[in-house]
Amino acid sequence: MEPSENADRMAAFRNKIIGLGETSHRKSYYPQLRDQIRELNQAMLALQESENKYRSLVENVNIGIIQTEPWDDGRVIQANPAFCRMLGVNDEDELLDRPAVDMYLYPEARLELLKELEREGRIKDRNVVFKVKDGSTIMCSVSLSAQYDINGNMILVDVVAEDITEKEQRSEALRQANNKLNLLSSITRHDITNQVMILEGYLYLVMERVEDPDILMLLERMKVNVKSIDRHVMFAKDYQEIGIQAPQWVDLMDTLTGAMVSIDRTLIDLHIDVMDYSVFTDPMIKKVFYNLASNVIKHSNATNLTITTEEEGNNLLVVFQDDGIGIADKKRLFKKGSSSSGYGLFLSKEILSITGIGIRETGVPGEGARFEIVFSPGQYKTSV
Amino acid sequence: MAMKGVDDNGSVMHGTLMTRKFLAPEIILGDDSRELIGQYALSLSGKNIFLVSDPGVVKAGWTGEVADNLASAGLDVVTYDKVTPNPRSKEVMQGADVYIDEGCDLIVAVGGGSPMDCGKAIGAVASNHCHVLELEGVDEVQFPAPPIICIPTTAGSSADVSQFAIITDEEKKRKFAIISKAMLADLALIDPVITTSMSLELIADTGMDALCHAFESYVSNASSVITDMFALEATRLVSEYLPKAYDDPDDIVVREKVMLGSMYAGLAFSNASLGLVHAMAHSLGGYLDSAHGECNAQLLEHVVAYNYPQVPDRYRDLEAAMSGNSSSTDSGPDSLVGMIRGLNEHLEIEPGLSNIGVKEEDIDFLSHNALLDPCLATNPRPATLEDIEELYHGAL
Repeated sequence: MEPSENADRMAAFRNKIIGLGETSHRKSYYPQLRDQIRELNQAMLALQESENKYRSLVENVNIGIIQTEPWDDGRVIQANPAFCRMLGVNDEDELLDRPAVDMYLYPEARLELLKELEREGRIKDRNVVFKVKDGSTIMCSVSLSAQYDINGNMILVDVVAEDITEKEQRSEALRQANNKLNLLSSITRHDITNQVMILEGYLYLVMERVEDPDILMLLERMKVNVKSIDRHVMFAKDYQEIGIQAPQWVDLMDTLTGAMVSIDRTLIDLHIDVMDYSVFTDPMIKKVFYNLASNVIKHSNATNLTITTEEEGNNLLVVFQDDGIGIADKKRLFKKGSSSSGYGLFLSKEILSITGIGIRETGVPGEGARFEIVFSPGQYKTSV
Repeated sequence: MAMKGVDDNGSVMHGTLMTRKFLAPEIILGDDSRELIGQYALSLSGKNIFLVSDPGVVKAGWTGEVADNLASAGLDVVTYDKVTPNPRSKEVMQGADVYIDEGCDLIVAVGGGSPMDCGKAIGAVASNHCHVLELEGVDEVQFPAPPIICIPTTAGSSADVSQFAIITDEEKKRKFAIISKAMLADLALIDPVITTSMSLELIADTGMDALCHAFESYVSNASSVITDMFALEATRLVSEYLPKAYDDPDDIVVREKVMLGSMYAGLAFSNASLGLVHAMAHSLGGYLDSAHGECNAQLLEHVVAYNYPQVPDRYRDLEAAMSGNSSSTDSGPDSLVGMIRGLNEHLEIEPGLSNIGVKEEDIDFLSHNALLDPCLATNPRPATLEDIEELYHGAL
């Protein structure tokens, strides 16, 4: 370092040591500290705003929200206006510090919920009956989540409750109406089938006694119409069952093998080569798989049917490929009444469409039929 | 009558007073004042105390006593008591790690200059999340350190009242200064009783350090009327009572006077800064790890002789204060130098830097480092590399 350079450096040191400059601050008067305090204030304001937003949301939402302690009878810490309305109380004060267990029509239901919450940390859509102040009850769908302290002990339970009393009443009425309709349909179907059988019997008897070829031809036509009535009745039976059971996750391989049990393996060589997937569907998908295989035997003259899975983009394809004659006229393939033997493909499409699953035929005529069942993301998952 | 003029910074003066600041921590002075530690740690909102000390002080029992007092006040204590003389940057960084890991919120330093400087530097590092080397210089501490309480066990370093912390850069074998108002302790509990555990050698070394503080702050080009008052009184007290303390270390009244002198000298140098003696002593301490007080004692007479022509009046005031007379002789530096030598002899400090291991060939390295020390900035006579080399030679 040059002597003059060091002299400048020393002069700067001296000025700072004298301590009157802007860089010389006492411990409690640091501008950086002031900045930090300002930032902290801004953060606190933002926090306040955000808290106000959430408060307004909690207070104005039409869904009941309460917070309780998890231990003993569960002291109520907080309840929003919607929950107060649901329980018929005027305001939160009527619930605060009271035992949560008193709100339950069946106190043991709360214990069961807590046990499950302890295991799972969060539970969804459980039905609970709460007591209303005027002595009536309401059915609620509740979701619970737990809050923990730093040692992992549960310290609070957040409960979100939706009053489903009316909804439940309506679904009950709907269920009963549906049952009645099914009963009526099933009795009527039974009666019609009986009458059709009798009609068919008389037709045979008449045909044995008539020799006039013109009349015989008319009687043959009648026979065909009677068969058609029978098919209509069978279709009504199948169609009635669609959508009755809730969609669920099913194992693809298990379902396929189950569906193929009734396929006559002497008529076709069946190759199933699918990966481990579960699919979300109406349980009647079994019928779809059976229909597709049975159609191959009936209509394609194929010797081999291969069932595989492919991923195409984000979609999963379950492919039924045969080596038969293929399908030339694809226009009316999935339309009602297109099949000579019934409503197979129409029904299949209906069953799949309940959970939004698609089906298409992409085979080349002359080289075999290729049916692709298309599962979109969310409708399938890899089995664990 | 007010006189108008221009000071050496070029600013207009309205009288004889230079515009100067004076900064001091809260000071509690008196026998057994150390026992107030619990109360004061609580009043500074401490909960988990980081207690810095060294093995000598631990052995004397002071560290344990302070820790017990803190615990009795219901405070948690984390002890860091392995500080060595001339504390290394590594010790500061390790201490800061422990401070942060243990979630401490207040520092108590019990000891001489080493634990106190180390404790102050640990606080600054903990707040600024940086390496201690980044804090070297003046006003480089960006964020204030946590509250610090100092309990000095020697009468000399005055780290308890100063804005300085001197740390050794062990890699480069040099000492560096952290000078900032943020390095000021929040409280100094100055208890003469504690100094009774010092050895004779430590009494001599630390006492001479205090005298050098007084001398250098008085002749500093950043001195003020306030620091002058403290510097002169410190010179008087140390000169009169240090030899007596050395002769009769059990006389507590004499110890109080030396302690008081040391504190005055600390208040003076903390605000007026130091000079060439300290610049050269820091360089020696960093290179040879030698006792700071002894280095100062060896160098003082040589620097006085060098500076004398620049500020003869200031040295005459110091000579008068040393001798206890109201006026000094007019014999140039010789009389004052003689008095310093006499004091060193009385304290059995053998003259010559070669006695502490300095060799001819070390002088180049030592001089280069001394030239960069911020203490040089306030020496009354500017010094070149050659001047410093010559001074080291003379002191050899």
